[in-house]
Amino acid sequence: MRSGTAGVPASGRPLQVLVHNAKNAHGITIRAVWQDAGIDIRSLQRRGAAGTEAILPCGTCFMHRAGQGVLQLKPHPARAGGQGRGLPYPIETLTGEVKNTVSIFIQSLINGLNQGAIYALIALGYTMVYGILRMINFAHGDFIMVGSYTLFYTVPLMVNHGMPAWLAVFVAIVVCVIVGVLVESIAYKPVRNSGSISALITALAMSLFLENLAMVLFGGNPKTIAKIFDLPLIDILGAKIQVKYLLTLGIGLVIMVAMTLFVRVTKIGKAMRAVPQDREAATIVGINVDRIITITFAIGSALAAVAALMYCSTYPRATTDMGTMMGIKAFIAAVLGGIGIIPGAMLGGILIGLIEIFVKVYLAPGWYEAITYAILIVVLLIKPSGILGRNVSEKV
Amino acid sequence: MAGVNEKKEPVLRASHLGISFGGLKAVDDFNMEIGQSELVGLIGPNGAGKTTVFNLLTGVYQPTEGAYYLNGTKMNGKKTHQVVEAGIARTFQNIRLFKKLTVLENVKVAMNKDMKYSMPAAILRLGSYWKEEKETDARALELLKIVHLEDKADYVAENLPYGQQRRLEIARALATGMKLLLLDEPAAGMNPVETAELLDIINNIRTGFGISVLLIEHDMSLVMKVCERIQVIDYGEAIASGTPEEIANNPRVIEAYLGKDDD
Amino acid sequence: MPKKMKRNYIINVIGLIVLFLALYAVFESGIFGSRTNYFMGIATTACYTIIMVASLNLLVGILGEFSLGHAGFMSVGAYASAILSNALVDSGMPRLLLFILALLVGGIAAALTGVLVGIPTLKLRGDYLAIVTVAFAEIIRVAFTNFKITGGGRTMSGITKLSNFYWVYWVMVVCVTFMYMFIRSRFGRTVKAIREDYIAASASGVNVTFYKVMVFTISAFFAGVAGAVYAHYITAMIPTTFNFNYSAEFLTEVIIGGTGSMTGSIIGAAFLSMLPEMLRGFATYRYLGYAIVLVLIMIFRPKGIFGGWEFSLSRVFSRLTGKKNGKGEE
Repeated sequence: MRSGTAGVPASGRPLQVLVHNAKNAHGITIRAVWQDAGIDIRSLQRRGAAGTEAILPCGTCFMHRAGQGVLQLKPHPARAGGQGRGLPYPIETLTGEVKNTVSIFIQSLINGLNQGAIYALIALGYTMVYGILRMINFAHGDFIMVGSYTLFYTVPLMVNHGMPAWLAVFVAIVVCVIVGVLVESIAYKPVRNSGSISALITALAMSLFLENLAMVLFGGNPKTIAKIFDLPLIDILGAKIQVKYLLTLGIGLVIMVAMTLFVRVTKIGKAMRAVPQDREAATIVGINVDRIITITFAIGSALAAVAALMYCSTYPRATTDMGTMMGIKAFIAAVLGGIGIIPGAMLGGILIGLIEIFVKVYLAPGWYEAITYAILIVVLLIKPSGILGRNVSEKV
Repeated sequence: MAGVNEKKEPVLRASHLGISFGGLKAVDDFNMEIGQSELVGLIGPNGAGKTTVFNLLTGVYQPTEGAYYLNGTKMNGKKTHQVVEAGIARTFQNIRLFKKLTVLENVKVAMNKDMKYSMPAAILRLGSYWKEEKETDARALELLKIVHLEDKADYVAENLPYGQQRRLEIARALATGMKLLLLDEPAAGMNPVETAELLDIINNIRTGFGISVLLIEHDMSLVMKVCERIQVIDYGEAIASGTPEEIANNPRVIEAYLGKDDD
Repeated sequence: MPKKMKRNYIINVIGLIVLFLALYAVFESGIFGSRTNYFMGIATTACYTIIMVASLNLLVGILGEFSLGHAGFMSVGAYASAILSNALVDSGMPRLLLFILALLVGGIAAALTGVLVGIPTLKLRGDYLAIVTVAFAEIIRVAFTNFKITGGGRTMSGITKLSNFYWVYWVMVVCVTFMYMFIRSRFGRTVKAIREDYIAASASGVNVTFYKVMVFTISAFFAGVAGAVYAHYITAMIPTTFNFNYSAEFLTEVIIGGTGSMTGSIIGAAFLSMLPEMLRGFATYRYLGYAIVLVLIMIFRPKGIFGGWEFSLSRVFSRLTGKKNGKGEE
């Protein structure tokens, strides 16, 4: 047993498996760590049992303790014949020996940090809007979707004109900022003073609107985004590490530091901190509250575009509903860290990313979402305002 | 009238009561006794810790030091609704009514703990539902009469004028059937006519129900007029206690209110 | 029972029977021809949606906490009842009895989950609580995806078809009546007091914790009943149905109808569960229109279409007969 073998799905696209081989006391253990190809994970939730064949969801660890065996991959029965849609094809191939568990750990760590950096960037957008308006902008996840579709159309354009593919992110930023500001000024502004529940419903409605608009414009079939970064693999202690993961992690960290400085140092940033404390007082001292709110949405949307770039370089697929789950997870990350607090969003995002990947690899692949949510509940019960949040009790 | 050979336990006894928030002592070594049907005033400058004392006595905060007793029963560790059940009710400095409920409903909420009909009786509208609702309506109306709001029973609470809202809070507190009533600045924002009416009501309650009252009030003339005893606190500590005359002439009290004449 | 009440009850019962007979006549007359089943299906969907929305309104309108995980309770009821009816379907039990049993088991299973979800309400409120309800619903979904007995992530099919419109109509009537009676009793009054000011409520002797968990439990119970109706109507289901979007849809219907108004819940649920069907001709554009309608309602009627207003048949009756009847509700 040297590597995973794979079948061929109906669409004719070759299946490739990321396999780590590790020796343990029982013989050979196969760990097939799937790369999430942006497939609807929910419809593929089948835990691969030890055996010669199994249908695996993305991120499943396939443990084969018998020592010998071939991993066969089959399309999900419910989706079979669906023009190859939703087939569990992984997007990376990694073969070769992985000597020890340390390397799996390092690999998981990098994957988790990459995932976490993406969540953190999305969570930043949530947290900034929440911080200023006390409103959960459920459409924020859909800004990622807008960014991803923009990348789908612009990356090939860039490449055709001999420019680096990642420059497309600037087009995505412009599109996302326009969408974000439009959503704010057309839908959110009129309900700003009608209470939190109206704002919440409006946000849910805008999310529905954007998803269905995308459905009308781009159709229901997922779009595969062309390669954005062409970067090699490097070997760290036996773990094969994607350089682009390190790159996205780096971009994420730089943006987080920049945002923290922006809010602390610049005049606009200070105004953004002042408005939620006392909107009236902010107006009195000459802050244009409407403008600050618009700027906040613009920044949040721009971050969503960057997050879309990072996401698409890892999982190059755009679907109309990709924003919903991602949005909820990122929002949960923001709440976990302490919503309204910028370092909280970063911490929460990174934590959720790490928890997800480590639970997938080490604990129970089918349960990783449940465990993430359970951790959130436990943290909130212990510290209702999140990890970095300040507890505010009502004055009697 | 008191017990033959044992010292009668006061309605409320606070002994060395204290609480600190993050090392800061908000109330420290607070001692107080309130006897049957007594009306005691609690005064002190702004931020002296008066409302904190109320919050301690009603289970909103748990004391970090000392204890307090209602008719001899230790109350530490009880939650607010348990304290109410035991017999301490309060009003709030910043009126806290159930705004969207009617005046009558506001009072009936406080009577819920004495209502017995079960969930099935409620959803199937059994006899016990009708009987108890009717009885409670009658009792609530009686209480509203005491605070002169009986003709406002069907008003939505938030539509009442300010002074009436304060009186409704008192009626709601009465509805809990308490032994000790804590009034947190009941006359705040009232004009002299309303204040006089309020005084009447407070006196009627004391004589009619035989309950004890602890009153926080800024209006010194009111406190001097109605209270039998006054306790003064400053910086969370009881600095003086006595009859209104004693308090009025106490140098520490004058100092606390007017500041030390240093310069 | 006061005489006026007795009269109101009789009017309402007659009204409900007349409505039932009217629908019965329409469906049995066959004027829809081959589409009769389709319309009965929509009517059934409207019924369990009404139960869902009304039960969510207990949380949103009466307790004042919004839940974004109500579909989670529904799924617990759906799966629990389906497991039960699968086990008992061959026992020769009368179908109506089996149906009622399934509804109760679905409701009780969901109510137990409701207790669990209610516990975080002791410490959390507002947005934080809302996100915890999302988390709970997702945990439930993931659990049903992993459990073998619930289909293990695949469709659980072959559930006996027990829900027909004529039964479901009365289930809906009973559920909504119970919730309505609950709201207008000492329990509902106490819960409203907590919504208005929980500190003042506890200072009035209300055990806030107990009542909050109670409302979650009751709300979950009825959502579970709705889930049981759903399972035995649709006969094949997959956990992904009960996702965030489905929960959000229920919340939307509560708000659009008007928080705290049972009338709003009923009309909101019935209208919104039919709207996509009515817009079917517009294919992919229909949800765009739906979203725009939502935003417009929120801008122009932020309190929902009905606000806190309740429809009263006896009031209409009184007006028609020219009698003055100020408060004809209850």
